[in-house]
Amino acid sequence: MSNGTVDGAPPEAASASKGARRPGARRRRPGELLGYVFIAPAVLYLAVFLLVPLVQGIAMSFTDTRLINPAGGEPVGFDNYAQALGADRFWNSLLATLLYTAATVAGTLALGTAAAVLVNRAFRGRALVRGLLTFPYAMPTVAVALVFAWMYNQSNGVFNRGLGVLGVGETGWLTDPNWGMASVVAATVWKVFPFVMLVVLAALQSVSAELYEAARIDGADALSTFRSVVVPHLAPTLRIVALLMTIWSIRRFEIIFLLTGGGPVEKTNTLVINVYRTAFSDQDLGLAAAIGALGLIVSLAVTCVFLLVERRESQREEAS
Amino acid sequence: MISCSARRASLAVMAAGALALTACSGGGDDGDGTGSITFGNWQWLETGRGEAMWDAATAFEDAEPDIRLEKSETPFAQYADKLNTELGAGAGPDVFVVLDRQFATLAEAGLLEPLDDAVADADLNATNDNLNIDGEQLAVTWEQVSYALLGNANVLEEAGIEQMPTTVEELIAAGEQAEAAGFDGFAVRHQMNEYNGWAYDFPSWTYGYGGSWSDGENLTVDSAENIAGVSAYKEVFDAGIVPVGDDASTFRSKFKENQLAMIIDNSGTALSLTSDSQLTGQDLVSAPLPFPDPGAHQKLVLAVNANSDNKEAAKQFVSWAVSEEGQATLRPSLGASVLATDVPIDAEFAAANPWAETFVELGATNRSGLPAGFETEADPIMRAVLEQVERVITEDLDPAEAMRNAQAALEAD
Repeated sequence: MSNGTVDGAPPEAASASKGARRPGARRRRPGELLGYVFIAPAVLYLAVFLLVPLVQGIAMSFTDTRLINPAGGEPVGFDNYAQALGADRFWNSLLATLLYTAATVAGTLALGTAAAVLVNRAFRGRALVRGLLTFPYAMPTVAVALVFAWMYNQSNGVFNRGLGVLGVGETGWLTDPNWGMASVVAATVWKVFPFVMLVVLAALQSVSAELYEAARIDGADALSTFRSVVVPHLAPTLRIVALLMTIWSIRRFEIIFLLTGGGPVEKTNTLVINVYRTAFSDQDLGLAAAIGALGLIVSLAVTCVFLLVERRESQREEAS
Repeated sequence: MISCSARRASLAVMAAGALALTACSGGGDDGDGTGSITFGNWQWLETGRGEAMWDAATAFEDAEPDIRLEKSETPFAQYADKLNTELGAGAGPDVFVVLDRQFATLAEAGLLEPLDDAVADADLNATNDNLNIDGEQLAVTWEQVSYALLGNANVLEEAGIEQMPTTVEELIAAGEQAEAAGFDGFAVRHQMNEYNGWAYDFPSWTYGYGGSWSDGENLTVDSAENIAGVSAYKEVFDAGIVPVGDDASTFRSKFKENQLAMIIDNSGTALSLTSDSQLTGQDLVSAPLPFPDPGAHQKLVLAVNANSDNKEAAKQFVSWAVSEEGQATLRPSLGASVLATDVPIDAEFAAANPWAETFVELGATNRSGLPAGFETEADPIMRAVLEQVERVITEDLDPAEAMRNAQAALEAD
């Protein structure tokens, strides 16, 4: 490992031995160039597939570009932003995005953590249960959406059949505006919670057995042990997972689109679905880019809040 | 600092990349009228008739042995979006079928190759007239499909329904009768996740009450006639005879499997329903829409990509498709639809499919579902309308208020 000097000599000595160098000039450390070589592919990938499209998209948001004539857009200033912000549809889709994100993150964290705690305990058949609980994450999203669409079917779906047996009337899981969002969130949580479970399980397995032992000797019961030993240990992991789930939920498309297409009555018309409809159904790429840019700002704001909280918590933990 | 050899290597890679890109580019050549052409159409994937339609289209290869057709398949739900994106980017199939709603925007964008020479010898009927834009024939009719009320004869008989309904009241009564016998009564598209299909199906309800989306100059979404059509749609849903949540593929499957009594659907679907062994032509009964006025039709048009590398071969295909030979070859696979020329329905087909006669008669009276004068804005208009119709059937919104909302939203845009 490099010790920060040339040939292991102290910095002053190294500097003196290279007396010809300009004052203030920093000597490149061995291996530094190699580091740049290693990160170059990632930087190139991000530049080509993220940065360039992002800049193009933002530039497009100031034009009246149409889908069928993508090179023919004329500058329109902030018209697209004014149109987007002045339309109820944008605010409805923002609300739908926030609701969907909050419910999905809360649901996946709760279910994933509970499942991780469960499968962290020793019991017969644990490996099988772990495998079964991981299964939804391995399923293709399109298949999940189609299966849930069938289960939610109002006249023949298994949920309404079950309710029928209990004497409860039919529910329009995907067609009733009061149930559309909840149904989409439930399908998403089922699909995504294993990711949280796996990450939390890894964190749980890194908790030292001595801590549990110490808590037991101190007379702590299971709930106290979980609250005082496990939760503090899991907190950094949960914050990171929550951040990832938030970002992924804000930009999730396929399961929502396949289940409801943004309906019923716009209740699941999240920003991403709104962008798709505006770009492809209405063929208005300029307006869609503006909605996308506004969504990016929302996403960045949420990420910044998370990072601030994370930094503050880290500082607090270091101080204590 | 980058060394000389590294710089040379970088330049070599860039030069090779540039050469590769050059080799991949089309170059804008119109082709010499031979080789292969791609033919885009979602119908290739339709159960039953897709294969028959492709077989009919490839009969062209017998007439022009130097040209080979290649299939380009995309499901209907994604077809328009994908094709628009491809054509906008200067790519896409050489020749393709599109809905007239999409045709208007493609024509305006100059993405369609004029076909005047290719169809000069064809005896085109009046369905092709509105595909002639500013004196240029930019497409020809592939098929114009009408909407009718279809009944499953087996279900109707078992439910004791002797006559096809002629009014909405009769439709509700028949639907309730079917429900009482253990079947689903009646189905139509009704969800935004089927927007592309619903936008074509729904106008029959408002047109059926004498409505239209515009008067040629102004939007008339909130007209009394349109409100009457939406009210009729709501009445049917309120009656509880519709399996809410079933998409088109689900309710069509139920229909074929003798679980559903009636649907409103088009002649293309009618042919698909009877194209495999589950339902025969005798099992399907048809009747005009149960509304006072004729409904709307859906037109599928055949066009050539203006950016095609092989426009000449693509135009030769169009030329064959509208010729006497081509129309006769295509006719059986296109069932009871109106084609580009007045080629009659095959007598054998008509005998085996008595339901076809209704569609032929309706073809003479129904109207285009596109908003006259606003053809390129058809999608935003239909989206605004259907968002409100969805509220009518799920939130019990008053149809008049719903149509006023749609009109106001469109005028604000």
